Parts: sequence; C-alpha cells; structure tokens
Amino acid sequence: MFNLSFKFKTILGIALIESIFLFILVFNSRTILQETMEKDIQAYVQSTVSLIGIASLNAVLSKDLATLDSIADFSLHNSSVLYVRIRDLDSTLIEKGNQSLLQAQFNPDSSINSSKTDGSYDALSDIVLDGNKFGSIELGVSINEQNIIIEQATKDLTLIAIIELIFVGLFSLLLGVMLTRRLTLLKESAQRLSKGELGLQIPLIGGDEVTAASKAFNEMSSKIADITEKLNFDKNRLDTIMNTATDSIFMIKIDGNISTLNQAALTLFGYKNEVMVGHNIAKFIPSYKFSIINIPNKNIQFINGITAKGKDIKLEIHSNMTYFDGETYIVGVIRDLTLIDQLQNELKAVLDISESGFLLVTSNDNISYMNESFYAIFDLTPETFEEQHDFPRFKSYLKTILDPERHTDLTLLEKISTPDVLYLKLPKEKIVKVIRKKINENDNKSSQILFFLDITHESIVDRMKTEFLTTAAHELRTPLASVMGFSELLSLRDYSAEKTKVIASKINTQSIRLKGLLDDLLDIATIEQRTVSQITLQQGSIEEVLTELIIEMSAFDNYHFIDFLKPAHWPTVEFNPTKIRQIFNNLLSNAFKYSPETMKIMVSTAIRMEDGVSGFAVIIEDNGIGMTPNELSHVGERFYRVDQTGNIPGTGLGLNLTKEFVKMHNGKLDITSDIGKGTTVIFWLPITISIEHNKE
Amino acid sequence: MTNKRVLIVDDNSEMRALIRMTLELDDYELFEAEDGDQALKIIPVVKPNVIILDIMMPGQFNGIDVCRKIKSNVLNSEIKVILLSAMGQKIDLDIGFEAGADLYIVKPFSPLDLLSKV
Repeated sequence: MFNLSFKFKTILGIALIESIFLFILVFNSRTILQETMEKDIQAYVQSTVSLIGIASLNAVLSKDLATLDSIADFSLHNSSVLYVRIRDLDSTLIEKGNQSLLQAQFNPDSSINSSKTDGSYDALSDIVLDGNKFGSIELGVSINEQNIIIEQATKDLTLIAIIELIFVGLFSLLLGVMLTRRLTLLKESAQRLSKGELGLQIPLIGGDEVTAASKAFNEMSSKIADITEKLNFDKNRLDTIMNTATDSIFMIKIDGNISTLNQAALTLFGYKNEVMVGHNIAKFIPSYKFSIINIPNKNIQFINGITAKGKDIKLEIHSNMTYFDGETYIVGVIRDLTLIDQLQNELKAVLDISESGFLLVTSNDNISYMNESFYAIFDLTPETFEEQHDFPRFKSYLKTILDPERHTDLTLLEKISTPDVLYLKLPKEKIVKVIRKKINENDNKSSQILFFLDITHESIVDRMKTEFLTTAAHELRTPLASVMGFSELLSLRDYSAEKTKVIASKINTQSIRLKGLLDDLLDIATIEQRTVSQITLQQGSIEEVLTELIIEMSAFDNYHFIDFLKPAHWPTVEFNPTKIRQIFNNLLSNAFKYSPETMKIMVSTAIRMEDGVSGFAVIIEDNGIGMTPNELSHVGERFYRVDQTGNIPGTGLGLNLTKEFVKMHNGKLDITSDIGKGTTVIFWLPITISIEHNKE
Repeated sequence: MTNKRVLIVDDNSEMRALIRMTLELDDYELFEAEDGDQALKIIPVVKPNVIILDIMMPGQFNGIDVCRKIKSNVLNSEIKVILLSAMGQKIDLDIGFEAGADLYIVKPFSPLDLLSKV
C-alpha cells in the first residue's frame, strides 16, 4: 500500500478528493431537488384538496352524492390524483380511484419520503364553514413522476460525476507520467551510476525542479567519476607495486588475522587468496611473533613458514605496526630464504668437501668462518683452536709452526693478495700455498678470504718428476758411455781377437742394462696408463729364480755379499718368473745401494699363517743407512728417492714397480726401517698348495 | 821427465776399464780408486798429475767433495782435475767448476777426446 508509486498515489489522492466533493454535490443537488419538488407537491396537493373541500362544501351539507360523485370524477381527471374520498363527520360519502390505496389505512404524509411506500402522497383537508367542521377530504396524489425525475436527476448527476472523475483521473495520470518519467530517469541513472557507469549524464530539459535535480545529479556523477578515477589510479599504482614486488607483503590485524596479501605471498605459500585472507597467520607461519615487533632490532625474524604442500620454507620477515582506519595493523615483508639457504648449504657442502682451507676474516680481525680442511691443514681441531676465533691469534700460532729456515720474514701474512707459499713444520713438513683476497678491493678495512692449499704432495711429486727426468737421463748416460766409449775404441784401434771379444761383451752387457732401464720406464708408463694386462701366473717354487739371481748379483757387485739362508722346504706359490725376478732384483739392488758402507745383505725365508691363509715370506735385511719414519711413509711412491744427494743411482721407479708387481702376485710388502741401522723388507706370497715340496 | 800419473776414480768398474783402455796405449801411469774415500787416501801416495773423477759415487765423499778437498790443499795445486759425470746440466757444470775442476766432461764421451784433453 505504501509502496505504491508516486504517480499512483497522486492519482488516488486526486480521485479521492474529487469523489468526496462530487458525492456531496450530487447528494445536495438531489436533496434540494427533492425538497423543491416536495414543496411543489405539498402546495399542489393542499390547494387541490382545499379546492375540492370548498367545492364539495354544499354537497356535503346537502348530502348531494351526485355532485360529490362528479366532483370526485372531476378530481380524478387529473392523472396525478390517485384516489379521492369525501367524508362527512360520520362516514364516507364517496370514494373513487385506486381501490388498493382506498382500502389501506389512511395516513396523511408529511413529506414525500413517507409516501414512498405506496407511491402516493396522502393529504387531508377538513370541510369547514364558519369555524364548524362538516366533513373532510382525503386525497392521494401519485408522486411517481417526481420520484422518476429525482432518480433520473440523480443518475445524470452521478454519471456526470463519474465522467469527470475519469477525466480527472486520466489527466492526473498523464500529469503523473510526465512528472515521474523524468524522476524515473533520474532514479535509473542513479542506479546505473551505482552499478559503475561512471560519469553518466542526464539530458537537461526545461528549467523546473527536476531539471535542477538532474543538473545536481550530473555534477555529482562527474565528481564521482573524477574521484573514482583518481582512487583507481592510486589503487592500481599500489596494486602494481604490491603485486610486482618479488618480496611477499602481508597486512594482518592485531589478532593475527590476515587482511591483505600480495601475489608474491600467495605464490610463496601456494594458496589462493581466499584460503589465506581472513585466516590467522599462525596457520602459515606458526612461530611468527608480533608482540615483539615494536622492540627495536627485533622487528626482523628468521623463522619457518609452511606452504600448501606442507613444505618448510625459511623466511626473513621484517614487520612494522601501522594505524589505518582506526585499527592497528601489522605490515610484514617476507623474504624467501629457501634459495639462499640452499645456496648456503651447497656452498658449505662444497667448502666442506674441498681439500683447500678457507678462512673468512672480518674487518675487525675476527674469524667468521673456517672449513674442515683449514683445521686439517694446520693440524688444528675446533677445540684446540678455541671458540674465540681471532685472526691475530691465528697469526701468532702460525709463526710458531713456520719453518724458520724457510721463513726469515714473518710479515708474510700482513701482505695482501700475494700468492705465497708457507713451509710448515707440524712436525711433519707441509708446503701450503696461501692466497689472500679482500672481499671488497677498494676498501682497506674490508673483510677478507684466506685460501690455503696443501701443495706438499704436488711439490714433492713435482720435484720428484724433475729429479726423475734428470736421474733417468743420468742412468741412461752411464751404460751409454760404456757402449759409446768401447765401440769408439774398437773402431779406431786394433785389438787382438780376444780383447775385441771382451770389449764387445762389455758393450753387450751395457746394452742389456740400457734395455732393462728402458723396460722399467716402459713398465712404469704402462702401469701409468692402466693398460697393463693381468700377468700369467704359474705354480711352483721360486727357488730357482731367487738362487740364480743371488748368484748373478753377487758376481756383478763384488763390494757387497749376500748371506742367503735357504729354507728346508720351498712351498708352492703362484708366480710369474720374469716379474718375480724383477721384484727380487729391485729389492736386492736397493739393499746394495743403501748399504754403502756395510757389505752384508741377509736373505732368509719364513712361513706363517695370516687370516687363515698361509704365506711364504722372503726377508731381505741390510744394515745400511735406513730411513726416517717420514721417508718410510713415502717409500714406494713413484719418483720418490730416499737419497736426495744424488750420490746413489736410481730412477725412483724401482720400488714403485716392485709394489705393482707384488700386487699382481696378490702378495704384500712389509718394510721396516731404522735410520742409521738398516732396513728390512719382507715379501709375502700366499701359498696356494699346502703340500710342501721337499728339497733334497 | 817421468810419465804422467793419472788417477781414475769411478765406482763403476766398466767405466774404469774403459778409461784405462783409452789411456793405456800412451805412456801414462794409471791408478784406480772405487770411491771418493779411497781416492783421498791414494792421492797423497801416488801424487797424480791428472785425476779423472766421477761425481756420483757411494761413500762419504762424492766427486765434488773430493775435487774441493784436492783444490783446497796448496800442495795439490799442480793436480789437474777432470770431472767425468753423467750429470750434464748447466747447474752441474757450475757446481763442478766452482769446486775447482779444470775440466768437465759429460758422459757419454768420446775416449779419444778424453785422451786429447789428458
């Protein structure tokens, strides 16, 4: 009812008012008409009845019924007279007209309304003469005509009223439509505006109030468009910044509920916006503390987050409190440290497995990092190096372990970026290459990296290689000198046939020695290339090979002699005659070479059980110069020579080759030595057949 | 005038034999020593005019030590020392001459060349 349109309400209002007034008008007109007609009828009836009274006075007095009858008939000539009764004081003298009306009880009507029941206006008039009543006249007059007129008039009035009402209604509808059409336009425009049709304008027609309202609407619309555009620009700019930032940004309420997140944050955690916004941040970063973010230096937290896939990610979160729209918020910037962490771990792993030592020294001379190899190079442990790492402390330690013969200038580590070599006595000698580099070259106070590389082995191998080439050349030159010298003598001089034979034999011997040396070199080269094929082993006793060799060597070198303690039984072993000969040749040559002042070399044998395998041992003992434990640890390394003076010939290959050959026999070489006292070499060979071969 | 006295010092018997055969046709008095120690003992006895000296030898003194000892003694100033070694690098020659050697011959060598030098 109250939701009716303005237009309809207007129409309804106008119709209502119109109806009331029309009703009053119709009613009043009808009343006035009725009253007027009533008076006319009353006056007409009264005058008619009085007239009949006067006319019939004499006849009543004379009881002249014929006259009365003709008066009555005359009266009834008037069509509107329904009946007439003339009475004297006692009875009815004559009555004529409508029988039903005559038979009804006579009641004079005071108004037309009271006569409506029988449609007859009944009037009474006394017949009076000189103040004495003689009779009365009763008369009924039809009021149908009047009633018809009144009804007709009422009908006409009502019809007119209705027609007017309709016209008024139509007009007011037209007016309402005209009025509300522009209001509707205003309303629809407001709706379109609210739906986002920014800057919408209404055409201005005329100069009435609606036009003014429309004008105001247009102004408002333009202003909203302007403001919205500006707001949108600001918002877009902010959105662009937020969503192109590689760091994740979040905004949470003081209770931890997330109110905003940027794209990077969603990507980082792998959730959709609606999964995160409105939820507590503790679900995604369980250990995030926002109670401490207002404490200086505590607003950076290094904590773990959990992604949608349940993966732990390392985060660095910078947080700040802010007030916005009357509420306290916390704005946080998250940096994903997973990659950095991974890189750090990878770098650490690389540094950990690196054989080079790394030392990171901060600008204030603190040591902030060192790797495992650093400790190993300087024979340190985290415990011995103490927890309080500082560079001066390390430098003073370094000074105590530097070889004073090699380092007279101890300012070495003060220099920058000079690759240098440290000779250390720990007490094992070490050669360490050191490179020092500032992290920032232009900053004098920059932190720096020290790089330590243990080049002991490389240095020794390098030196040994050089020595090897010299020695190898030298070793070749000596027999070559014999070959060249003797052959020259032979070609230029005349010798007896016998002498010639001797000389030729010497040349031949030396050629064989040269060949042996070249074979050694080739063996080394072959082993070096790992192309050596498995040698063929035969089963038997090594007695023959060993005995022959000892006899040969004794004959060749008359400076030393070999004390050979032969065993009672020679067990069966697997061996390659050529290689086993090379092994013993080499071991005996070494015994000779390193016993320059003593002549006796002892060779004996033994049988023992080891790990359930019985072994046959040949023991070669000398009382020569022996070796230090350090020298012993290097013996057998390729090119390594115990003799550093160059007085003892050798290629530095013999024992290395021997070891390779021993390996091919599945054997073992045990070397023990005492400096100045001599060396014992035990060559173990596994016994393959337990039946011992008795030597008669 | 007596014949020239030549001392051959080499641990390698083949080498000694070669030098001996090279020189024996001329009128040289030849002596041999197997190592430095032996050489130093013989020198005062035989008083050689020329010593043909190997460098790499076993024992306490090598050829360089022997050379140095000979040259440091004024009594031996007349003795000519020929170093005969398989070590033929410049540094070896420098060490040899520094020790006072008069001549340095690198192995392998031409016997006739050695003969002419002696």
